Amino acid sequence: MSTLIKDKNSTDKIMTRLLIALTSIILFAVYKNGIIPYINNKIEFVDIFYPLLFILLPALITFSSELVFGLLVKKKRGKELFEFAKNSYAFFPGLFLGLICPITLPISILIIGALAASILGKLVYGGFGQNIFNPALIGYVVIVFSYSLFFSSNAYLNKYEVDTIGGSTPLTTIKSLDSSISYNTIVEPYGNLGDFFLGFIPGSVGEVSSVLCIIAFIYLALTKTIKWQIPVFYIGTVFVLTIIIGIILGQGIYYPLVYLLSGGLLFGAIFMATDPVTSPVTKPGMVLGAIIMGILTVFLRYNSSFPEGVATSILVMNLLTFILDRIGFNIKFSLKKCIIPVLILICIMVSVVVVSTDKFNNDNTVDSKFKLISKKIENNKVIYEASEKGYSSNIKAIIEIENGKITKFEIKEHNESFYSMVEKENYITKLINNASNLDEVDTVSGATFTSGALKKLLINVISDYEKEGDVVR
Amino acid sequence: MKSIIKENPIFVTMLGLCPALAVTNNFEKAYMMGISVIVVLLLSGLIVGLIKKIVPDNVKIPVYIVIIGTFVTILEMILAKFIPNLYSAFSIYLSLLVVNCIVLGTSLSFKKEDKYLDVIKKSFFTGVGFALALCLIAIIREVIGSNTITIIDSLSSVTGSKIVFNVFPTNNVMPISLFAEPAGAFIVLGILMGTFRWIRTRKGGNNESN
Repeated sequence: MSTLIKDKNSTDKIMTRLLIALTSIILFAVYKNGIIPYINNKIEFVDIFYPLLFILLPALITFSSELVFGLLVKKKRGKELFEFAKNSYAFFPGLFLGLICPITLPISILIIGALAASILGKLVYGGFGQNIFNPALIGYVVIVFSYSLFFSSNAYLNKYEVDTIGGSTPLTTIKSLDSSISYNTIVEPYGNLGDFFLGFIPGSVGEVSSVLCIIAFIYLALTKTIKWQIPVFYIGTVFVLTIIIGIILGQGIYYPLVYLLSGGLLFGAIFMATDPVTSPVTKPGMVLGAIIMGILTVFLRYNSSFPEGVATSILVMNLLTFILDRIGFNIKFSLKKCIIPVLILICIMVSVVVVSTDKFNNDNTVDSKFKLISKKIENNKVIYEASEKGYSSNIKAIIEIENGKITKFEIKEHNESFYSMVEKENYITKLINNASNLDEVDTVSGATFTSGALKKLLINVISDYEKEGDVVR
Repeated sequence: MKSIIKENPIFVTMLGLCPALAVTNNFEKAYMMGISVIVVLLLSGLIVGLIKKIVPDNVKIPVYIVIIGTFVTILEMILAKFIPNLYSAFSIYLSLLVVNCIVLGTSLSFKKEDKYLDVIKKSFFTGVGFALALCLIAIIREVIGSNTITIIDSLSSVTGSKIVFNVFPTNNVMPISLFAEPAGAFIVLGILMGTFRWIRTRKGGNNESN
């Protein structure tokens, strides 16, 4: 009985502390997405409370679905039922889900995400303590992969930022810049590094403010609510790897800092990766898991078609929790035994750095994946048929250039999974209209490879056309 | 009869999960795969029932694989000729029926003293149980994942017209497309397996079935 009482107390305490830590973040979200746009006359007065609704509604949904679960499956009634839902931290998955979604996400999709988080992420396993994955991230992944259109980079901008900043989130900006990275192109559009630190940059509802995340981390770590090892080693690994990449690319200290302070890294590392149910409990396990997450995050940020990799990394770590804890329980520290695992980790880190920096060294104009299939000249018209390797297939296109003007750009064959996103943004029309200055055209986020391939295809065809003396306008 | 619910090949004995995950994003593909498996099982059951007494135990597997392989190849050729769309939609999973544990496992499970009629019965009902399970998974996945129920689409090269229902009026419904992708197959299969187990333990009262 005594242990039960102790458990109940600690549950209450943990919950209160987490809520205290989250309150400042929620208030900042309301300030950034509600009050600032209102002051600048972008939204109505009522809309100030929209961010609050956006965060609290999914929390309410996860809480009520836990109530239904307790009522139907666990057969709890009355006060016991409420106590049950409270003790299983039922509203946190929804709260976290609301905080990591873009503000322009339709409420209906958010509701689907909250239901998925609660049902697929938690209840099918048998409720609190049984789940192997972080419930909030399961909900997030379900809606990201089902409705990727609503997670494109401009979805993260609120009404005020659309006018002042435009464009996209910092991570997407970095990703779309292949070789022309510098302080001016990465940090300048969003202000200075102070804005990154305070959180006045485009991003998800709650994860932008780095300074509040760090304060929350210090508070939670000092009160021993979360273990400090996971966030410190996770963020440290990402920091070290991006410093190395930055040095290789000849960039200053701002470069790793941008990677650290933008996106969901801090929020994910502090609130999601430390979930006591789904993360390792042994110290070596925690450190190892955190380093794996760090490596994976850097790898995904540089090499996948999505700008962000934190959610996936945390889910992979959740998957490995059991193994990590096995290692953690059995490990006996001796220098000799540590050498081989450490060497393996260093090898993986080196290869991630090499793979990530590799694409920056490629010259954009020389492209072995480009193939000119046929070229016909009729009067003033030149008809090209060419192909270029896209994300998952070869894209074949017919391009007609008449008197230095592109009159036709037709995709003949492709098998690209994200082609609909390219279509939706009218990317091809955009390319044709900016044919004289293609470097200025950004790729479509979420379909970076497909749109990049289309762009390269056009660049190659134009350079071939311009060999004959005429210039494309 | 118990092969349909009590010993359902997919949800209970977990045989033949490969096609159950791969071809169930669409109802038509699922029931056609189910029919293919029923046909292969039934035909190989007919032959296996006849020869099982004279086949020595140590060459059982190769002999049965040859028999099953023959029927699968015949089926493949027929599909490739008459319903090429479906054939390409099945891709490797039709040829994989040769070594699929549901077909081979059922053939190998017969003992020498089993009656001929029982062999055919068991083959048939295993196939039916498999087909029904596939249809169940496919309906759930298709309704949630793409908001449609495809009854005749690739088959239109034979029937001439297509029948595809929209479950909800289309305009503003955004299906959860994750369920049409492989991840959705695992989620649906897992939940259904759990449900079946829950029903069985509730009804039978025996909590341990292993």
